Amino acid sequence: MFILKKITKNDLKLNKKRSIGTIIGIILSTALITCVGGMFYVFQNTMVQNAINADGYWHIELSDISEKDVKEVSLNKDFSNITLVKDLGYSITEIEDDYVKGHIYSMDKDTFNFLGYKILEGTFPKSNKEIALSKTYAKYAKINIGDEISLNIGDMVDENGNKIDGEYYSKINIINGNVYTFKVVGFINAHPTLITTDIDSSKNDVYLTLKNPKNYKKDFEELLASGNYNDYRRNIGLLRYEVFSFSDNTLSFLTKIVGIVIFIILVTSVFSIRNSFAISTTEKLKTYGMLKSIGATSKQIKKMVLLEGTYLGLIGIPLGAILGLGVTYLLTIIVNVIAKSGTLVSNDLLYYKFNILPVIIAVIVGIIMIYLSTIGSKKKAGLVSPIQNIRNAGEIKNNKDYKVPRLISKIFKIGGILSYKNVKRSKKKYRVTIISLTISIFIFILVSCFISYGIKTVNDEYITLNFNVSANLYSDEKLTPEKIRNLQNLAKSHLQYVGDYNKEGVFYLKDTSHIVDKKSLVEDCSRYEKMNSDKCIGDIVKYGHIYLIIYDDESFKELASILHLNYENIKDKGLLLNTSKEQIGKITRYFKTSTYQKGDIIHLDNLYNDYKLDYEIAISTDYRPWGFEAYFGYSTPMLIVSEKYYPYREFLIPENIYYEAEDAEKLVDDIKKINSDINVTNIDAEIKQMQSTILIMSIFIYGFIIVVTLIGITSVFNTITSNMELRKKEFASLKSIGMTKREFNNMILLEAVFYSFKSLFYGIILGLIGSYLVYRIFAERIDYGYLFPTKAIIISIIFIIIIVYAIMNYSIKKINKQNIIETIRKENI
Amino acid sequence: MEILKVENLTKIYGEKENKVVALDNVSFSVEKGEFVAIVGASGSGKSTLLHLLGGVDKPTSGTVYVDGKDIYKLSDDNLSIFRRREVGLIYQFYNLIPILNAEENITLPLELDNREVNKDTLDELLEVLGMSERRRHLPNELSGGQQQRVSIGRALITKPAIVLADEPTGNLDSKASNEIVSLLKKANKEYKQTIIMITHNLDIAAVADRIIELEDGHIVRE
Repeated sequence: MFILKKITKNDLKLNKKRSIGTIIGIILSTALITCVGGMFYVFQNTMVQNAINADGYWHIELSDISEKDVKEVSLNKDFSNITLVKDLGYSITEIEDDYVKGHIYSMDKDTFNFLGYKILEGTFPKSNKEIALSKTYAKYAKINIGDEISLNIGDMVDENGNKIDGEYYSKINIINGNVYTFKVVGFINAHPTLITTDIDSSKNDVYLTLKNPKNYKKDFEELLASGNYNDYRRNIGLLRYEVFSFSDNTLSFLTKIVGIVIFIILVTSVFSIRNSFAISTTEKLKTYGMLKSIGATSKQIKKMVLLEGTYLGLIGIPLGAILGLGVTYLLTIIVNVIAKSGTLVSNDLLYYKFNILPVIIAVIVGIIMIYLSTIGSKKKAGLVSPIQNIRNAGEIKNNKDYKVPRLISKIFKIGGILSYKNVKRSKKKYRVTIISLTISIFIFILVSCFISYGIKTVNDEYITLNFNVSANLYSDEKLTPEKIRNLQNLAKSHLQYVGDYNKEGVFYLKDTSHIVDKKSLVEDCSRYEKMNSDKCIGDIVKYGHIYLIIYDDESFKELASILHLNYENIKDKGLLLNTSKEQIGKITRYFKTSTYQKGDIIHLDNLYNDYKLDYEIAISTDYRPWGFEAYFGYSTPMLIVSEKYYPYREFLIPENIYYEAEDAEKLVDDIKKINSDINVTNIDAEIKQMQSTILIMSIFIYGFIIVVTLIGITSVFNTITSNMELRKKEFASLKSIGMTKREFNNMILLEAVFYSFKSLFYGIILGLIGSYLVYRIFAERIDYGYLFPTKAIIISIIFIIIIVYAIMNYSIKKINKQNIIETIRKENI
Repeated sequence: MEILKVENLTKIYGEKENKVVALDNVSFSVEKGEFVAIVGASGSGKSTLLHLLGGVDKPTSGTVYVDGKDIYKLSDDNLSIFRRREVGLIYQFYNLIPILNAEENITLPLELDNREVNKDTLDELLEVLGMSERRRHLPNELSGGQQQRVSIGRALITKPAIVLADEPTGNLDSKASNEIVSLLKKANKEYKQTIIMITHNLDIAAVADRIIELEDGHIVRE
């Protein structure tokens, strides 16, 4: 037995190249599985951490329990931590014709932090005379930091006098109240919570942390059975991610992805590693035959193959697991760096955590993978007969008389003929190579398409915009004209007004003959009908609508110059946006919304009074100004006019400001300083965020295909080099009968080209089919038209030719170094 | 007419203690149309000599003239071209190209040289070799004797200055051996082909016009 081990070991050492190739394949597969599994747990841990940051690390809360019960519970050995909060009760603060409700707790600062509360402004209360309020509560009750408040704290009851908890009651009262006076010292992030400290209460809330969260069901049951705890709450947000209970879409999606990915890895790996073993076995058939002839049994020979797998696995699997762990850690760091630069909120950062499970899975999968890979070879090796080994029989069978295309024989001469015949007649030998390369090309094209559609979505949604920050001025508080002016002056801006916010601004088109989409007239009428029902009866169901877009005069001036118009000539006229588009299935159709021409006058009447608008059309255009870049799909014509020449200026209300800011972030801060309620959209930040999301996705996806491709390449490397090795004698014969070095090199290069072309041909066809399917998936949402994956195809072509040529060249160099006679002689012994 | 001239040919393998003198100052010459057999025990240097004559190996010192040309003065590529035009090699283990059929293997040297294959010549040669029926067979579909006949065909097709045969019957049974030897004799007689054959079998060597016997790198009898 010892001698068989020795033979196997020596053989692996002798065929260092191929052994290393196979080991690299095993390392990569194991590493990839470890890494995919590891990332899964990093995501899980991130969600657990997010849950902890939000609510604290506890699994069950018991509310309203006595001191005795608190003692009892603290003796329960299933829980590692118990956090106590005193529940003081509820209070109500009247505001105008409404009220706000507060729930008052007493706790120390550590507990406050543990439960995930955050101080937004001010400080944590230092004594029972101080209190921190929810920001919302403070806003409604108009309370500021430093104010003194007195609260009547007691039990909450509904109109029938029943004690209630929770939030959704319209009529509530406080009974059994005590009045407390507090100084407000801070605002916190939870509503309707008010927090003070050092006040005792008979009502205790305890938060319990499990020692072993996996046993949560049993432990909870035992806990709840041990006393009369009716009011309890499980921390589902935490348990969901920590122990994978309670179904969750995110989680099941992640699990599915991980499953698919591991399956792809497994298939690729088994395919590649199996190939390496098959090569190794074929090469060793002679040795096996010899061993058999001196009395080795089939069982022993099979054992040798398994032994070979064991040795390779012993080296490859541990290295792979270590590499996978390292890469997981590195990926977490890289993703966080990118996420930070993309100004994603801190919630999206990943939290690394070591987990042994992916390593165990990868090791087991690795072992199974190697075992599956050796099955075929074991069979083949076991069947070897002692005699059948001298000839390399059974490999080349195809004896058809292949006509070599004249072009090939003309250009490449005998080298071309030989390589063409070699490719045609020994198809089987290179099948694995071609399939491996084809798969790589296919996946690459597919994934590239996925990413380019993603990028296109971002570009189309954001980059075509003519502004980078927008502020919606509609807020609770009416902004004074001075504030509006301040806002306008923050950066280059375009103010857009809304006309029909009040009755004085609702205009309609009496003469609807110019409107193309007559159907919209009916719809428009039915919209007006609600306001003025008697106008929409019988044949006067003909109300046209023009969308009036009113800009400040400066912006109107700029628009005029963009459209090459002389402002002075058109300042009191209207610019008609007369084109729209509609999407019917895959077809995008552009159409005119009206038959108005330049010079026509649009006459509009007010729906409620006798105000009139008359605008001469200065230009009919397709140009979409600030804020209306994506405003398509409506059959209503749009008319842009200047605020300065709008006759009923006093009724206009500023709606949006579109900024072309140099420093978007600073601008957002400046706007917030003027009024914090203004709804600001930072397009730059959104683009940046989308781009970093795409970058992170690209790193994952491209990283994945690169490694899968590398696994395939180890198999390609093994196939090509060992094939070259097997043909050493053939090459030597060719040289001995007078083939020059250059002819020889040409022949090898040409073979590389043939194989590359074959796999490129299949890979690109499959890739195109795949990319079309990807397009269809995207088209269901938004149809950008099919993008032909030119770049991906060019990259694949270059990549494949380089890979195949590099490997073949590597082999040629070795062969060219060898002495012809030595080779022929050695091979004959 | 002298077609081959060997002068002071020496080949030493290895260095210092491992030094092996395979050929020691060997000189002889061969006339056109001669059939020469080189005999000797295993390790006598006969294979080394043959490889040096064929230009697939280089000597430590000495020269070989083929048709008056010093073959070791040729560049690598020119040596390859010299080989495919002027030398036909026949090996003990045939060394056919597995992906090419019998006919393609035979015409390979012509193709390498970009020369037209004369169909009549090929047919005649296949007939002489007794391979007409099996011209489309791949090497692994042929017996040893048949493969060796193909390799003889490959050596003869270019009508080279010399044919070098290295133990052409070493791997064959006696019946096939006899066939091969008479084939070589026939080529020598009918095509006036100069042939130098290595063998350790004296019965087979007896067919030759001249026998050179080597021992420890020296010519001991001629």
